[in-house]
Amino acid sequence: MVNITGSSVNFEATLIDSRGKYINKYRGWKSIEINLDCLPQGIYYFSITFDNQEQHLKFIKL
Amino acid sequence: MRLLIYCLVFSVLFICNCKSDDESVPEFTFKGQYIDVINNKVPVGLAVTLQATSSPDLFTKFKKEILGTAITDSMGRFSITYKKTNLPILTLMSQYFTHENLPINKNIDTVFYISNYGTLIFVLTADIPLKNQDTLYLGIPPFKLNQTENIVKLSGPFSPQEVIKFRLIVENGGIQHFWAIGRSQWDSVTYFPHKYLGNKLQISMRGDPYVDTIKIKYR
Repeated sequence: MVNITGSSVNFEATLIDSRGKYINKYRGWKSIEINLDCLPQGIYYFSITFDNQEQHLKFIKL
Repeated sequence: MRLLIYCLVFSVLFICNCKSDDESVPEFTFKGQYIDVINNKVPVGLAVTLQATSSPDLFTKFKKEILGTAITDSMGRFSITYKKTNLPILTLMSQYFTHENLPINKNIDTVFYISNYGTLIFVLTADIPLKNQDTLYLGIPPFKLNQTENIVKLSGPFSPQEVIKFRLIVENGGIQHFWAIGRSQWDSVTYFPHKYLGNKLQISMRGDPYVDTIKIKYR
């Protein structure tokens, strides 16, 4: 389970795998809770957009 | 007796050097894994079929060739090995999903995410390349008044056969695209058929296609 907490604005997070292939897009208000149990071990990235700014978050599923 | 031995030796040599057509045809392996990120699970025991077909052409007879079938394992994985085919279009099908226009006659190892996020590849084909001052607008319904988030604005110049890739959130099933060239801005009110400048495009999204192509011809 991944929990992304944002500011008091709505934001969206795009999940991308290590090959750069887009997995899914999630939208939330203040926070997004995403269950990633089905994904195999590996490196993934979140591209998070809020206030028209984009940030990238790398995480490793063990 | 000597003649008999010569015949025997030549026969053996001939058999050894004579490969069947099947052995000389190159083989390719298509490996894949299905992951359902919407329901957070992997489809197990899913039957998948790989088929090659001819181009959709009204003037030639349609051809179809089943290249192989497989069942997904406990991790949602499958593997199909097939011999080189001369048919141009490769499609992976299952009870629930269809992935069209896959790379053919190549070894593939990829993941198919069952998600609400689809891939589109827009292929621009032009009689005359778009000029610097030209702008191509693509509208993806549903539109709302004064809403621009469903409008994709592409500025020139574009060369003939330009390939532009971008991804969209799309619902499974059919969606329509509207496009226009040379307008200073997209008018969400007048996108209706009697006003818009381009043709209406109809495409279909199913799951997370490896490739889904739209061809836009403009003059």
